[in-house]
Amino acid sequence: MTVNLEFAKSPLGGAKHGGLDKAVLIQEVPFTPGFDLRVDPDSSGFAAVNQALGLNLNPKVGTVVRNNAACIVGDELPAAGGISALCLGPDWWYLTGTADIQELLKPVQEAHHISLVDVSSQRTKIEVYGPNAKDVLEHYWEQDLRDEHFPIDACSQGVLAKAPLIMWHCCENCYLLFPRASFAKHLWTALTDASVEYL
Amino acid sequence: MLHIPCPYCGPRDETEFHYGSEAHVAYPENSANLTDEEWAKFVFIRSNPKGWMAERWVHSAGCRRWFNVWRNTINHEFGPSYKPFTQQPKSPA
Repeated sequence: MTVNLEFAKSPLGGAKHGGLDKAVLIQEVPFTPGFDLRVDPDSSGFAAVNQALGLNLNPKVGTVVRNNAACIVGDELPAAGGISALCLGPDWWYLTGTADIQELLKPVQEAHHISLVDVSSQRTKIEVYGPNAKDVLEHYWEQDLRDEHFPIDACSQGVLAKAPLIMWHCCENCYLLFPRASFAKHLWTALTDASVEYL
Repeated sequence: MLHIPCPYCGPRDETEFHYGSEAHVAYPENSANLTDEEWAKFVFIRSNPKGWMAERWVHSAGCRRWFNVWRNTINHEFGPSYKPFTQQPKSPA
């Protein structure tokens, strides 16, 4: 799928706060594609989806399977053809990445009972990176962020400063947030406010 | 703050959930033929026990699944939670 970005506006306009060499870097990664995939893990469609995506989806809520680098820390773009699948519910995945997911799953959609919805504009993506990234998030996040409970490639939905979002611990000291577009400005204010003491 | 055990996500804070009243209230089979009184009984009247009660909750800020869970109405202690259409665990009492 090609997207015309000529007139597109991201909720935060690609905002950046802090820096790579600082205690924390908070930046929006605008226009991240996202898809809601619904498929019963016991159905024939599940195997077909796995085969089409080249992944081994895990129906355990809170797990992430992927074949690519996910974050853009240091403006390094993830490799082409990458897909990450975040398990949000027992039959519900959030797919994101640089691959043409819609094209990959088209034949599966025609042959099996699955649902794939483009929700790219529903959410934006915020990267929180740095030695104090966790501390900034802990100002608001009610769930346990310690590595033994929220290891790398764990994801979780919850409420951060009253904004519902998906949080993904994608690599060391790096957390990706997928908040609703309409909550992004509020969340940005909250995050930058919390980061003041570390910068 | 209550900690509610979601059978899919594990224990989470109460703010992520919404309440769904008593579990296992069957929809009447002959709903078209009910009298007003019978219909009101199905809609409004609940057992309201003092002690352990099986309830429905929805994890609205998380996996968005409905599930059932035992809760003690005296001290808000939570018992085991279970998925719909699965065997109900015994009351913790």
